[in-house]
Amino acid sequence: MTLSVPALRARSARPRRRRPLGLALAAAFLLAVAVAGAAAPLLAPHSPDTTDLLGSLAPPGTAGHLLGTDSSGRDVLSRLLYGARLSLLAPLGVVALSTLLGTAIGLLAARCGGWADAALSRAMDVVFAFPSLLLAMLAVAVFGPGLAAPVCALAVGYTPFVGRVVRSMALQEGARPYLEAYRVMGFGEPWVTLRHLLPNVAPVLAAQSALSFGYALVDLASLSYLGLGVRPPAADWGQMIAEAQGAILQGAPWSALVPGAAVLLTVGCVNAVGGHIGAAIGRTRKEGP
Amino acid sequence: MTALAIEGLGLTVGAGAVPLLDGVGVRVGAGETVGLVGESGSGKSLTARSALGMLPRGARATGRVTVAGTDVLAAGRRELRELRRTRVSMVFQDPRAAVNPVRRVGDYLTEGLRARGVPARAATERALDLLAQVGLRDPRGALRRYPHEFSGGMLQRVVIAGALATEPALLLADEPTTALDVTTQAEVVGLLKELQKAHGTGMLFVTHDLDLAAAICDRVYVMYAGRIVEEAPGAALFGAPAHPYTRALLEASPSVRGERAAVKAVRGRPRSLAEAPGGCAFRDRCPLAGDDCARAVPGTRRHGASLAACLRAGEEPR
Repeated sequence: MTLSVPALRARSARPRRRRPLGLALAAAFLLAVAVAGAAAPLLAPHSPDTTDLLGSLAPPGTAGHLLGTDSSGRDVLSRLLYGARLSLLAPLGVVALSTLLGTAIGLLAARCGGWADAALSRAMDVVFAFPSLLLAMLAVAVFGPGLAAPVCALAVGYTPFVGRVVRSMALQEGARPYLEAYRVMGFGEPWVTLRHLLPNVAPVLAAQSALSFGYALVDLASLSYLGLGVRPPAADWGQMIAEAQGAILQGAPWSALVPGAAVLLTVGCVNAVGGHIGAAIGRTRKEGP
Repeated sequence: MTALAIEGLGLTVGAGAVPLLDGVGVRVGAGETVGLVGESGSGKSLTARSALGMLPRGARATGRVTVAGTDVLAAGRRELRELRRTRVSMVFQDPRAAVNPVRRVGDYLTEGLRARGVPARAATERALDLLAQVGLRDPRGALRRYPHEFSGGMLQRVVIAGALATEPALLLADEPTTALDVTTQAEVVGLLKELQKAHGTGMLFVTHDLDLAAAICDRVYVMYAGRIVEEAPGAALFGAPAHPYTRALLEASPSVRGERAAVKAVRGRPRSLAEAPGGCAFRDRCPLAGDDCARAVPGTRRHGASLAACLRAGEEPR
């Protein structure tokens, strides 16, 4: 008894979904920023910390200073490139930590149910009640300036967002019979949850992470702007904006505008990519896999 | 050896001890096909699941459930897992929902074997052999494909292959054809019977399709409101239904054979055990019911080839 599998040919027949140009541009920009940050020592024309008081506030286009210099005469392009490292790595840390914590809490709450679910969900509500930025400022007040404390605090602040999404997704997926089928096969609850439930939640997690990354970048830039983030002379974009405030009044707005634009563009691109992932998931859920 | 023996199984749930099942007895011998038939909510799926030790959260069970020599209700967590891994399998209603959509078919088939300590290569060989047995062309290619690349009938074949992978003593088929179209149904049922015979597996076939059950099962249990109301050989069920409920069910399903006859709906609506009347649970819908039916739950009595829990078994409606 042999039978054909008609679904075989369906794969090649399915039309390729065209990706919008904006998405490609956003992804390309993010990739470029990441590469620029990683290769900063090779790309930067100057050391980011070399001051040149005589050549301060040079406008963009000055020979040797493509984006001009700031009030201390440091090359804005070089500082921008080096600043990309901390500006991208720190939010990445926030996202990684909050995703880890949030996934663990969300899965535990959904799978255990009962009092464990109630306790974890209420704990997340409590954290929700505090703005993440306030948490981060508290952490700086307690542990002193530097990136480690605000990154951890923001991660805690973002955890409920991830936790809630994972919990509701896990509840929704957990009711589907394929998990029951694995239990019938004699697999334990932890195995079923981690190996079979989690991969089905992962796409939503990816979209949530992209959005969190944008928020984290802005929050960390805000902290640096307030002087609570990285410690000088190390540069990140938020701090560059803060240092350039005075220069705006002196008629040299570029040293503030350039890092500001970098923050704006990066966050915009991250949101565009995250939004696309979310929309793509919505489509597959509607159409079926 | 008996594949499944359920004796006097009662199930209550919640603080109010809401009854779900009462005195259910089902026996499946090795290599035997036994049907479990009833309307939605009659407790047939609950009964089948009790063989896996999968009771609803907070349920209390009385009676005995024995699967291939293991007392399921008394078994600990580890023992239950071992039982599910090696001696009982289940084929679900909707294959599309019962297979993890993000895992390849090969993973689905080998995972259970690997968990029992079968080496990867041997597990793959076994999966190939099983896929060939359930009639899939190109088993090797099928291993690498995802569930969405298969049609419903093909996927149900994969699920059946998975269920037989561990050579279980008992196969629970929970409405395995309900989600499939009619021609596919016939193929899948034929395949199940064929493989069951070849492997000597006992099968409990849960369905609401009385005709299907009567056609393929050696014996059929009819359930109503959490109790078994009739037990009869599959062949005898059509000819001489003993319990008025069985008769009503048969009259409610259209037939393509014989004379054209009006389809009669069973009057009233299905009851759960909790809301059923005292005495015989079917008496408020039964055309034969009398005052004596309210006195006590009727015991089973032999009527022809059947065992029926009815005081008026075999009587024609007035």
